[in-house]
Formats: sequence, C-alpha cells, structure tokens
Amino acid sequence: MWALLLVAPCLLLSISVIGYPIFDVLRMSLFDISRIGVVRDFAGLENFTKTFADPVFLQTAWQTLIWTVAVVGGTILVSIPIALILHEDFYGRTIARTIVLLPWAISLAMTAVVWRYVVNGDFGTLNMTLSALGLPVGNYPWLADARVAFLIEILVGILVSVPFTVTILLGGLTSIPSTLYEASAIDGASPFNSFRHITMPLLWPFMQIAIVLNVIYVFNSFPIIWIMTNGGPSNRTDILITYVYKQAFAFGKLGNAAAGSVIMFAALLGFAIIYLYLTRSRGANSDV
Amino acid sequence: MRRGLMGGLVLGTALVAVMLQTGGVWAKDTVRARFAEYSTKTGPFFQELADQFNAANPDIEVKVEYLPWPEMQQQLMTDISAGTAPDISHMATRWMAGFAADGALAPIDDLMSPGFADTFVPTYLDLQKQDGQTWGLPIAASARGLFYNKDLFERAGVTEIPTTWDEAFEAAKKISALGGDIYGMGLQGKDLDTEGYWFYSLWTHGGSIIGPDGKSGFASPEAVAATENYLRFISEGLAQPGVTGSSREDLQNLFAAGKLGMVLSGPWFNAQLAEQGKDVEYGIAHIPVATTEATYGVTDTIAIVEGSDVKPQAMKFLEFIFNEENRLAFGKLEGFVPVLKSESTEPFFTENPNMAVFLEMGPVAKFAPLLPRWEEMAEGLKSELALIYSGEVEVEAGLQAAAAKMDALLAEEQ
Repeated sequence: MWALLLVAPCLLLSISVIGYPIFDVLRMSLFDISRIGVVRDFAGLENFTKTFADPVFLQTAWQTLIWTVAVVGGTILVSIPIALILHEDFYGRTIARTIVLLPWAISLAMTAVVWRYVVNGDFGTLNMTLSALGLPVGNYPWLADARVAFLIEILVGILVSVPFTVTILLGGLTSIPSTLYEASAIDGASPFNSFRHITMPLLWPFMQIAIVLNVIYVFNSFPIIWIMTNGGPSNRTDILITYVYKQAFAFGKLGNAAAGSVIMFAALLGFAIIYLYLTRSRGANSDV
Repeated sequence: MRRGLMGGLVLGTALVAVMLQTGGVWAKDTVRARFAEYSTKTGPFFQELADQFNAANPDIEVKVEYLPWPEMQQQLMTDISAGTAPDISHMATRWMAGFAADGALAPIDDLMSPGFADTFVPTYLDLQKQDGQTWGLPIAASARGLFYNKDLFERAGVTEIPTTWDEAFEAAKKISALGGDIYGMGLQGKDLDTEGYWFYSLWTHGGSIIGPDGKSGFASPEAVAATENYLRFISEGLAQPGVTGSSREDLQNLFAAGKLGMVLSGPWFNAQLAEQGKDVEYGIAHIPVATTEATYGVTDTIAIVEGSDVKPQAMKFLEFIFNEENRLAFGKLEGFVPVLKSESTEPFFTENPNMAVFLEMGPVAKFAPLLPRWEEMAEGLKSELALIYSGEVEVEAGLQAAAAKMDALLAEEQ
C-alpha cells in the first residue's frame, strides 16, 4: 500500500502524458472540428462513416497492408541470414557488424532524401550506374510509375529496418547454448537439420518480438513515403499515416484525420492483443 | 531562511508574470510576426526591418520568426488551435479563405490608416477580400511566363519565339530532335502547383476553373482541349520522360542544366538560374496561347490573427513593411511582381526584360478561386491528371472524375 503511494505521482504523470492524447484524439473523432481546431457539435460516428466512404481511404488501407507485410516480411527474410553470418566468428566481424548497424544511425528523413536523389531519372546515380553497365535505362524516371515507386519505397523500408532486426536476432543467437549444437553434431545432425531443429525454435521468441515491433514502426512510418513520393502519383503510394496527415494539414479536416487515427490505433491495438494472446499461450505450454 | 527565500522567489516571479500580462508602465507591446522563407535572405530581411521599426517605436517590440514554406500551414493550424499563434502570419492566399471562414483571421479594414489601401495595385489587394472584408495584404505576387533556352532554340533552328501552343509544339519537336537527353517542353505532374501547370493550358484555351453555371469547369470542352494539348507533347516524346514524377523543382533543375527547351515558371526562377544555371542563356516570353491570352497569378498573404491582443500595433508594423521603400527593397530582393502602384514604374521592374514580361502579363493574370476547400479540390484534380498523363485514364473520363469531386465539395460547402 505504501509502495503504491510512492509510485502514485509517477503513475499519474504517465497516465496523463500517455492517456490524454489518446483521449483527445478519440474525442476529436466524435466531434465536428473546424480547420483551426475549434470543437463544434457532437457528430457521433459521422467522421467514421465519411472516412469509410472515401475510396482513397480504402485504397490507402489496402496499400498500408501491402506496405507493412512486405517491409516486415522482407526485413525478417533478409535479417536471418545476416544475423547468422554475423554470429559466426570470422576475421573482421566487428567491422561487418558496424556496417550493418550504420543505416540505423542515420535519420529516416535523410535516408529518404538520399534515395530520392539516387533514383532521380535525370541526375540520379542509379541510372548513371546502370547506364555505365551498358543497360539501356536512359533517363528512366523511377518514381513516376506508382508500382515501381512503391516497390522502391518498400526496399528502402527494408533497408532501414534491417539493423534493428539483426540486433534482436543476434541477441537471440547468443542466448542459444553452444552445447546443444555440440550434442547434435555428435548425434550426426547436418548443419541444416540443426538450424531447423535447434536454431529456428529457439530463435522464434526473438523473431516474434522483431515482428511485432517492426509492424508497429513500419505501419506508422511516415518519412520514407512522404519524402520520396508524397503519396503520389494519384495516391497510389499513400499509406494511412500520410493519408491522415493530408486530411489534417492539407485539407483542414481534423475530424476525419482523428477518425483515421483512431482506426489505425484500433488496428495496432488489435494486433498487439493477438500478439499478447499468442505469446501467453506459448508461455503456458512451455511451463508444462 | 531557506523557505523564506523560496517563497520570495515564487512571489517575485508571479509578480513579474502579472506585470508582463497586464502591461506595466515599462512593458512594451510585443508583436510576434511569422514569415515564410522565399529564400535564405527572407528571414534576415524582415529581422532587419523589425530592428528598424523597434528603434523607431519604443513602445512596440516586434519579434520576427521565420519558417520554411512546407511547414507553414501545419504550424499555423497547430498554433491557432493551441492558442499559441503569432500576431502576424504569412500564408498562401488560397489558405486564407479557409482560415478567414473559420474565424481565425482578423479583418483589417478598420485597422488600416486612411489612404493605405489605395497604395496597392487593386488586382492584388482585391484578392485578399472575401465577404466584403479585407483579410490580409498581398505580400508577394507573381505571374508566370515561358522560359526558353536561347542556345537550344538556335541549335534546333527555331528562330521565332512561340506565341501559340501549336508553335510551341513545333519548336519542341525540333528541340527534342537534337537528342541526347534534351527535351522540348517541361511538363509538371507532381507535388506543389501541379494543378497550376495545367491552368496555363486551361486558361489559354479559354476554359475556367468554375464554369458560368457555378459548377466545376474541369471537364468543359476547353479543359479537354487543354489537356489534349499537353498530352500530344507527352505522346510524341517532346516532354521530359516521367511527367508524373516531375515536380516544379525537377523541371527547374532540368532547365538549369540546359536540358529543357521550354518551361513555364515564375519570376523566382530568375534567381535560381542566376545561381545554378549560369551557362544557360534564356529568355522569357508570354505563355503560349490557343484562344485566349492568360497567365497564372498567385499572391501570398500576410494577415493578422484574430486571437491577437495587439492588432493596432501589428497593423502599424505591416504598414511599415509596405511603405514604398521597404516594399521595393523586398521586391528587388526576392524578384516579385510589384503590388504597390508606386513600384510599377520602377526601372528595376520595367527595364529588366526578365522582370518586365511579368509586369506586361499582369492584366491577363487569373487566380485560383478563394474557396475554403480548394486544396482538396486541387488534390482531386492533381490525382486525375497524374492518371491522364501516364495514359491510364482517358482524358474525358479523368476530367469528369475531377469535376465530380469538385462539385461534390462545392455542394457540401453550401
């Protein structure tokens, strides 16, 4: 009881700092809000029905799903072999680890700016390099076609997510006792079999953490898309966060933006609950 | 002892706070003025003006803030809703309509001293009016023209400067035939002002943004002709590749690199060419015409925020910025079209051929409509134009979709 009293100020502060913005967004989503943030009449679910009736919102939601699955999936696929290699003891491993971690140290916004210049049709280094290799790309404008632009953005998204994921997986690999591998080697297991039956199952909890955290980061990741294509051409590289930003700050529709934010919040909350449920049942099983 | 000291400090701080709030005898009225940067010189220029003003007015202290353009709108919205807005704010005139309609801006008619409004060129001041009130002053005004690369024209054997779209098309053909990453005409399909680039063609084909029936003019026969005019440049390969990936900056960079024969842009581009395109010999002509002479005029507004407690003082500073000498210095610094009557005869504007053309086109300038939800209508248009330019949607279908979106927004407005 006494302890509770001592942590109470901290708890109150946390609740107000974390809780108030959530409460405010929920409130805004239910009211008619003017572009300067003046709260007018209670609107019920009107902001939500308007948002769901907007074809751009539905298209954007679909793109967000593609974006999240592709970036997180790609990141995990790329990170596993990198983590395995960096876990091996080889000459220059420290340097290799540093190089893999470097993109993490550069701000997302700068990474996006650099890549926007790299894929620029007329002055970009990508076209220069490809032309120097004899490929007939000419001045191909990579960001002018929505599908190509989205693909490039996904690749950049993977690039910036890899360092964090590799770090988590390396932590996981370090925690696997080497005795297990020695025992399996004595039993005559091939490297592939020991990877499948020892590494993967023991690494799985770490991959879960990596997946959940990446989904949350990537789902809400604004700078890459905003800087490289601004959601264009024709909204076909927009994701929910850029959609919400445009609603609020370009069109002055704060109510719609709040409704969009609530929908995103609900999606991530749902994802987090599913994750908690899955990990809890796993924990119970391993206790048995 | 300790407690007494603390108590004294708290009391003292509170007293000072109260005095600052109520304006003690020695307190000055603080006016916060926020400007957007046209270039890196903008902020220091206004800071210098504020220093002069503060020295001449001991009872007022103007504090200058400046931000890059892309952050202005968001910052202003956030500040107004949080009650932390500056007293004076710079904004695009097209945002002004929404802010004024929502009561965020103060009407300035009663704040201006007599005769001050008469010093402005009426076209530009009238744009700051809505519902019979003036909501701000035109801090910057620009018209657009056709920038052409003299060297490329010569190499391609084009001797006449195009005055019609058909002549521009023929000239672009010859220039593109030079090969080697050189294109006749720059067309914009992305980001800020994409819709404006289309308006050049719309207006010079006799179209209008809002038709005579009060509905969207985006799908009128003139608009279709205007769009097909651009499409022929794209389909014949006379425009730079990837129109939907080219922003205004991309086109300006291409032109500054000597790779574009023609591009439509405004007076600010002179400054960029002076820095980055030193080798490019260029001229500026009127926008090519199909049926009607026209150009796109844009103004930016500087307004007083409704929540300000120091409106008369803020107006006094604005009148200082807009006195003949200071406004002329600003026009020269950033290369904008004159907004004061007195500037129009300045040799700086009339004798420099790269500025004079924008003055000549002033009388035919058209403007985007002042509608609170204009940004959204423009976004709908931009989105359809990207589909049309990339050949995914037929001209008429795309324009009709854009017009339908605009009409729906117009209907919601009422």
